[in-house]
Amino acid sequence: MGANILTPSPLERAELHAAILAARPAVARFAAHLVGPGEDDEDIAQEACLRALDASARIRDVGRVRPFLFKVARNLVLDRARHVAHPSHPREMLPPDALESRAPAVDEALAQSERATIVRAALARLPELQRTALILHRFHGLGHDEIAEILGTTPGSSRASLHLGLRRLREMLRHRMPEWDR
Amino acid sequence: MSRRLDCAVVRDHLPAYALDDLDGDEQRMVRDHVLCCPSCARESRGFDRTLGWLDEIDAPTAALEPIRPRVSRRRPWLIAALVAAVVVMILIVGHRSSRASESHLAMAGDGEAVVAAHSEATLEAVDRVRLLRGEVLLRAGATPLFANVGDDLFEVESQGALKLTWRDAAGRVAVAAVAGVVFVVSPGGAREMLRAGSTIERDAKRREEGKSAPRAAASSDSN
Repeated sequence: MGANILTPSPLERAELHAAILAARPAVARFAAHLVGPGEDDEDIAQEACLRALDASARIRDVGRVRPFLFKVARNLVLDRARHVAHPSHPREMLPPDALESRAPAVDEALAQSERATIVRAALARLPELQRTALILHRFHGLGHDEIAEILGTTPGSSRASLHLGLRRLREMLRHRMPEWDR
Repeated sequence: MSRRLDCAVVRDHLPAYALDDLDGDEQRMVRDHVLCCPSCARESRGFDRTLGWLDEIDAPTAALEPIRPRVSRRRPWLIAALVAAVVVMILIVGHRSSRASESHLAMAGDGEAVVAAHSEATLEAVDRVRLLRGEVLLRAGATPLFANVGDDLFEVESQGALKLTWRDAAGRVAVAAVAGVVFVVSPGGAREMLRAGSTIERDAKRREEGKSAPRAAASSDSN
């Protein structure tokens, strides 16, 4: 079997691979948003891709690859949160006082860095459905049907989660961002 | 409809308005109200500001900072350059009977990545080590490739710099220098992440002795 590298694969398989690989960076990005930057995002994306390969017989339409990967990635994150006191949980990776205090910024880069810390902490405090809906819509441009499929809910419900998530995020930031009224 | 009621209705719709998630008529209705109502306009700006700050944390550089601690936060271009400095490693079918041929895939751009592979040696090593199952996912940056090789699965991810070395039964060495973190997935599903600077050496003698299970010896001094 040694000389079979790049042996031509069935067309369907090749299409599936291409779809998985095309979606993989977005899945890793999605995972990073869920677990916190630099944590297990690549690991989760990898696992999701492997599961998609395993499930290739069930993924008949390449258009279903992306929601499948996102769904698996979300479930992996939820499983980890349920079964392990995982240090990568965004609430724990952030400074405990990320939402309570903020030193004056010395320049814009630092201000942006501090702001990002506060925003991540606030995002992490949203209920999971709202947080994930917001991430999928805002960062990945997904529509309500696709978000609903990933969340296992209805489009109407995912839309409501999205809007409520933004409202709650705004309320948290309004009270914590010194430059809110600037 | 009173102004007070108008404001209440409009404010209910402000999150959707900020997300551009209303239908055309609703979007226009809210916009027209916001344009002439300072109070609702202030509320609306709050949602816009929230989304602007939210978008800031979606920057790729922000997500990559923790795994590249030596990169200054003030030099996000360097992170981008590292990510961009990737290699597509293509292992081309070789004939067992032919001599080990050396192929170099020198990658352009950003000075990070050079792949050099003795293609036949790599094939031999892959075969004998039984490292691979079904296909190889060679992914460097945004340009991943699959290749069918055997019965195991081997995945290359690109983050950082890494050199892989295999030694086949004839003692030939296959080297793949890639920009990446390499995950080796065993047939049982166990995953081994090999960090930048590691070298994996597969001992041909062990394989000939029938110890064909993948056995990685990682050292940190060979990058």
